[in-house]
Amino acid sequence: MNPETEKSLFRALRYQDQPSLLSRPEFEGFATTDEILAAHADGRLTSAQQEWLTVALANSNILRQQWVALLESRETVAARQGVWRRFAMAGAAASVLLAGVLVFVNDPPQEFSPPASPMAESHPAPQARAQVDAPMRKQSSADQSFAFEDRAEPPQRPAAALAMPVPDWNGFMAVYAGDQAHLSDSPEGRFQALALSLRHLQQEDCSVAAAQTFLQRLTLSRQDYPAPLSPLEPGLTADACALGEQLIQMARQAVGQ
Amino acid sequence: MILDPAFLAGLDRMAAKRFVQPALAEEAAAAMLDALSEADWQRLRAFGGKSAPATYAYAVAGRAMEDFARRRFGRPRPPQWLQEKGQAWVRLWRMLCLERQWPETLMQALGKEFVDGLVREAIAVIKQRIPRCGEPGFSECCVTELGLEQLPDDAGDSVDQALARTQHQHALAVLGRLLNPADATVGSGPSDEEDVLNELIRRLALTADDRLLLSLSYEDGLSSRKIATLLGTSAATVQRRLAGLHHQLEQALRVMGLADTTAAGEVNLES
Repeated sequence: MNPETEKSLFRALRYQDQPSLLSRPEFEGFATTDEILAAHADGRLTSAQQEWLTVALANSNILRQQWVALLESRETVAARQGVWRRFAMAGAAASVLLAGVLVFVNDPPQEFSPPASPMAESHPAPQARAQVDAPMRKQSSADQSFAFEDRAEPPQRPAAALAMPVPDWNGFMAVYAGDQAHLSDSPEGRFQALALSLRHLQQEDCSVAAAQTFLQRLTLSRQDYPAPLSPLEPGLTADACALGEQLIQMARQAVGQ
Repeated sequence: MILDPAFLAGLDRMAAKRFVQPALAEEAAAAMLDALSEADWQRLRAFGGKSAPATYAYAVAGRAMEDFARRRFGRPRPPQWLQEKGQAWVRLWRMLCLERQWPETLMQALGKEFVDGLVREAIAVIKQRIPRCGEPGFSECCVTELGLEQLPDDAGDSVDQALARTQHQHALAVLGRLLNPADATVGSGPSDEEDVLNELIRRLALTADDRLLLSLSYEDGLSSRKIATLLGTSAATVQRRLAGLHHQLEQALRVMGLADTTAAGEVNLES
């Protein structure tokens, strides 16, 4: 087949008419597509929601571009640029931001945690400082961790050298058994998300959508824990069920069950 | 959270991926922060707890980054021939001609994300067909010479819609040629071609995952490796699935008596 023919037909065939995501009953309670994309990135969409989002991503170049940018913001290989330099120079802008943060701290939206940056620590007034400290002490290390490779301090757990700590396996098993997952952009958080998706995979009887989510998360966790998870090579969605079985066996062995 | 260095590093990564010039990337990252803090953090206050807060903030920032690009560099409609080449070419045209990003740096930064040679070819062809591409003030003055109207301020929706229409027409033209291989100028009637397209849709029965894969590959021009990263699978799996879809299409056309025997380069449907 002529490549131009193939390209032209596939470009047209990828479209599927559907109303906007926000008008679908599956997305009741979502106010914006930003919320939908974020929930997708964190693996919190149901299979039906996931399916509709996938169609919307195939249809809309703009939405796909935003989706790719969101995933790239979470990549572990950082191309560090000059945010700090910019912040150091842009005193006025920083002041505005800081004022905003203080307002934010006084009246935080649901689940938004106060800033934990060195910059925030050096500036807030004592009163605000106290407000910042209290919730910070309550946060788990997983909650605070966010792309730890990018922190100014030397990373405590370089990804390439990570072996799987037993507490992480324990967390995995707890979530698999039904505990609430503590999702965060950290190896532990991603590993708990993997446990969640494994549970979901089995509940959904290995549906394609659940398998895809499971394989995506497995890929991420393999980057975090390359050595212990190396036997689990993500492949076709049809293999996801067997991989899930293998993973749960490994987890049981690790925690001595 | 917003001033957490790790969160800011994430914003930087987004900006650096989108804008290869460091100064432009910094400007974009600052614009994202401005957008987040705008109106007393109004956008973040709309957070409904359906994801991690940071993930939501990144999603909002991603939209703000494209808003910044449209505000800063204008919204001329891409030339028709570019739209027919697909989103990858439109994206590179914006980066090269409107945003005046450096060709060499673009090739270096994006070469591996796209299929082999696409970035180099697109830059060469765009520069050849639009010689003043990337000149200072191109987005304000020179697009007028190309007859490009400004798109409405609708966050890019109209470009998407125009592209969908163009590609639908293009596919009908291809099917018209397959229906009448002897004389491509004699149409078999638009309804025939629409019927054939609908029959193809029915026979292929593409899943949502297939459709997304086709968009990432045939429309965005991304490499198998990049697609695999986005979908959380391996490049080999991506290649296998694309080969499977290619085979399905070929089979469907053959069964419908529309086997395409033209060689590469023989078809030119560009307007």
